[in-house]
Amino acid sequence: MIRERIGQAALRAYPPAVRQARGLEMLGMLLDTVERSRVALVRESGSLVLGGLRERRAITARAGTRRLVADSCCQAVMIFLMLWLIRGLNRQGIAGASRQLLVQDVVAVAILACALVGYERIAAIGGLAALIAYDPLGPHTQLLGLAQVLVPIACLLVMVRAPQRRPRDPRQLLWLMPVFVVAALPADAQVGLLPEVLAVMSVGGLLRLLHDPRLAIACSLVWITVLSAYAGRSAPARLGLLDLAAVAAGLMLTVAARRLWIMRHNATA
Amino acid sequence: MRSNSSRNRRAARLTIGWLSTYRVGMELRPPSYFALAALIDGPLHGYAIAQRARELSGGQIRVSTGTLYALLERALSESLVIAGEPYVEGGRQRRDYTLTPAGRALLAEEAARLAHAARAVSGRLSATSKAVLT
Repeated sequence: MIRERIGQAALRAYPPAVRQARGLEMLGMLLDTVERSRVALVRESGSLVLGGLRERRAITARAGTRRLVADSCCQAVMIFLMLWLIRGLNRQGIAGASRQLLVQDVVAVAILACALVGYERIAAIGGLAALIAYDPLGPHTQLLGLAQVLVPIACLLVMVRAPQRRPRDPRQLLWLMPVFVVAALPADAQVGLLPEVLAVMSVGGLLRLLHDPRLAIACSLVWITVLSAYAGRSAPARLGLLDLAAVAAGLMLTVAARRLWIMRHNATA
Repeated sequence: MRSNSSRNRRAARLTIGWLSTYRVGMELRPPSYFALAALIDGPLHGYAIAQRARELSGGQIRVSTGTLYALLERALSESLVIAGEPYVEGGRQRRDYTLTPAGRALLAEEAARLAHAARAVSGRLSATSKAVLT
């Protein structure tokens, strides 16, 4: 029973379609192989995990560079929206509830919910409208403010033009839960918890880098914006951390881009 | 000429590696070679393929579940094997895989290549060992 559960857990490394088509068969073979040995169970489960990651990598590579870059921009938009919502809720916690902030947060929740479920084009148009309606693309926009939103605007435009090809799934709304949990945590008045949240996401992106560079690229794009927005305003003690994050973001973007190139090369060779 | 190059490409796609899976002009790697060779005598399911491959290689090749199914997936996409309908045996779900004529041809080509390579090296070794002894 435990072996079967371990096998099923290892099979989760495979894309759902492969799991559905061959999962039971593979599980059967794994159980036959590991019948008398615990070492074999570890070896075979490891082999299934590697096989699953390899399969995911092949599927990602087949998508093509343009699609992968577009997907990265779409994922970056999701992260922007999450951070926007966290920041808004944080502000409400620090400065007290205000009608204007409440409206902004409701708008952010609605746009993020659309994006998560799969109505990405609607979410992107909503995001662009929100950027125009609220700071910093309002009537008093300065050049620096415009520079800080260039990446989000570019990503939103890509999302309008080429949203991710994925089935609509209301279960994705569960991602709102961690957003609300993080927003409830005590935060710095200036920077909030954005670098920390983004750092956690970046670790996820780096862990997936071998088979899928999209999240890493998305995180790098968001880092560029977050760092340009906050580096000048944060306290000196925090500047070191942000500098370090800037170097890490640059490195991550380079590695992710290189990985993308290798995957593309392998798929076409 | 064209069929040779497409066969090479097919062979290249069967080489399972972590970083460079596809390379044109490469030979079948031993796990792929023995797993396909396991099907020469008739259709087998996954576990039986792994067992047979191990026997054929004199216990030297152990094809793990992940590697075998990655290999079968590619062999299926290249029409080197065909998969039968799933069935249940001993409480486990199984599916038999059968070698196609294209798979047999690829194996024959690879076996001839290996035999030629072995002959060439053995011939040189025996010739030079005689010279060394004398």
